[in-house]
Amino acid sequence: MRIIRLCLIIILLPALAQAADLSVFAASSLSEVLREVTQSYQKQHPDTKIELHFAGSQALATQIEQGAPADLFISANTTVMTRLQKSGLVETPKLLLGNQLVLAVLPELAPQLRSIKDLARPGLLLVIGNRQVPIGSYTRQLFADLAQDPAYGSELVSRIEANIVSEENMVKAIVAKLLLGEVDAGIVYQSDLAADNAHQLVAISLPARHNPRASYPMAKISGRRSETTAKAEGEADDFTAFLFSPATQQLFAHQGFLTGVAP
Amino acid sequence: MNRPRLFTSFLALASLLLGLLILLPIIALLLASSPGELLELLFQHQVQQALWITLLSSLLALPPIFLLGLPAAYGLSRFSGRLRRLFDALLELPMVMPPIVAGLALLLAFGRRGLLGNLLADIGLRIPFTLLAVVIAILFVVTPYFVRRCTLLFDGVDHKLEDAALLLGASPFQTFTHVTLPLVQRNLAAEAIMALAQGIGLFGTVILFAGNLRGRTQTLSLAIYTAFESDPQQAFGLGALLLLISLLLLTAVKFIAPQEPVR
Repeated sequence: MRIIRLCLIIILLPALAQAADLSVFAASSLSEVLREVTQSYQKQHPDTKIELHFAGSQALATQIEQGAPADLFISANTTVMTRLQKSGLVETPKLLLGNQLVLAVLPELAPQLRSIKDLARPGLLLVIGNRQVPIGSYTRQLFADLAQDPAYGSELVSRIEANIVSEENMVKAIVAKLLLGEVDAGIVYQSDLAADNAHQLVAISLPARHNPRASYPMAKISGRRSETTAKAEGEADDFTAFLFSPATQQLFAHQGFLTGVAP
Repeated sequence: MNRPRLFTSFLALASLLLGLLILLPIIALLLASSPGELLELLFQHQVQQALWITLLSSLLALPPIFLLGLPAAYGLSRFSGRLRRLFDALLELPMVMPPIVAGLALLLAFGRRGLLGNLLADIGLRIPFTLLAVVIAILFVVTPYFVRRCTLLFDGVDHKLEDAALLLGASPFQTFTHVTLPLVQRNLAAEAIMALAQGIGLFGTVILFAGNLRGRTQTLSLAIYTAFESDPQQAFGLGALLLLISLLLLTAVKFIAPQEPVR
């Protein structure tokens, strides 16, 4: 009997703990900075319980489509957000942040890898994002642009592509493989290298005219009103306002994001 | 007289619930895509590539699994003592290791900054992000299970038959190859298929150690994970496909393995 009671408690505990006031679904590239932002928000609103949920934007969108309990969604690209907006799952999105791509290399290879052209060296181990996720689609866009430019050319791009050893679903996985030292270079967001643990990697900027601008739209999930109270609704608005406040925007900029960008 | 009946109905109820718990998700997955959609998937180049990598890596892992696993299993079955118990415990380690941890551990052992990194670099062998890494991952995870089941198999072989062969002047090796192995050959064939089925489903260990690159290391499980990011419907279809393959292999096991015990 005691065992059954214990099992019941174990099963029910998470259900009780789930009573968060505000559940934010955000692209995994935002994990460090949003944790920091949320901490300072909670200093001002100690009673509000915020639950942050990080994953690839596509995975999050799918979860929202399957009815996951989100209040706010911050995506790392507009395509996913538009898809949710079209199916009426989110309200009109606002552009929160921008980001751009950067080449991240191991410190010991930095003297040899000075520009994107050096990625074509035979035997180099390159890891990029999967074309299905934002980081990967931006990278493919960059490659397509470089192939068009006579200064780089399609032959160079196909030599770079031959060096790809893995395509990751999450930008954090690219950084992790670099930090493990198992690959030589990766293409990630500029903000990823501002994280504490990634400081040891060297950032090499990419040709500005070909560097795609990533944008992070955010939106309130619609249709949650029936189940949530007016209080939760107000909390979502409060938190949104906090994200757009000058202090928070400065924090974003400090973490390598582009702020105040036009869409 | 009442109590045993109560107990029997409790057993029946528990089994029924467990059966439903297993069947419900399986049926849901199979219902998520039509047979036409599944057939269409089979004709996609990307799916064919993933299917090929999956089968190839599992098949390539079979010979080393047998080469290392069979002697270990026979030894475990025929000898006892502290060393056996120690080896038994060692075999349990990969079984209880979370797949992600196994992947990390393999990277730390065979990666270029791993324990054997310098040694492997000297002979010019790079393991991570190759098909070899997929095979090693399968070997690491599947062999302990294989050894476990084969030990039980050898335990079931009548010792008197082996003793007779030894008395008649056969060497222990001859006894093993001419008496023991023929007795269990059908079971071993079933075990081979079982190992194949287990290798096909591997995910966490593979994605960490071997990366995710279409046509090189992307197995069906990794293709499902990748597809989930952009096209959940395709992920459902691929999932059903993988499930059908597993069901097919399991049926083959049931068909090949003799119903009666070996002795």
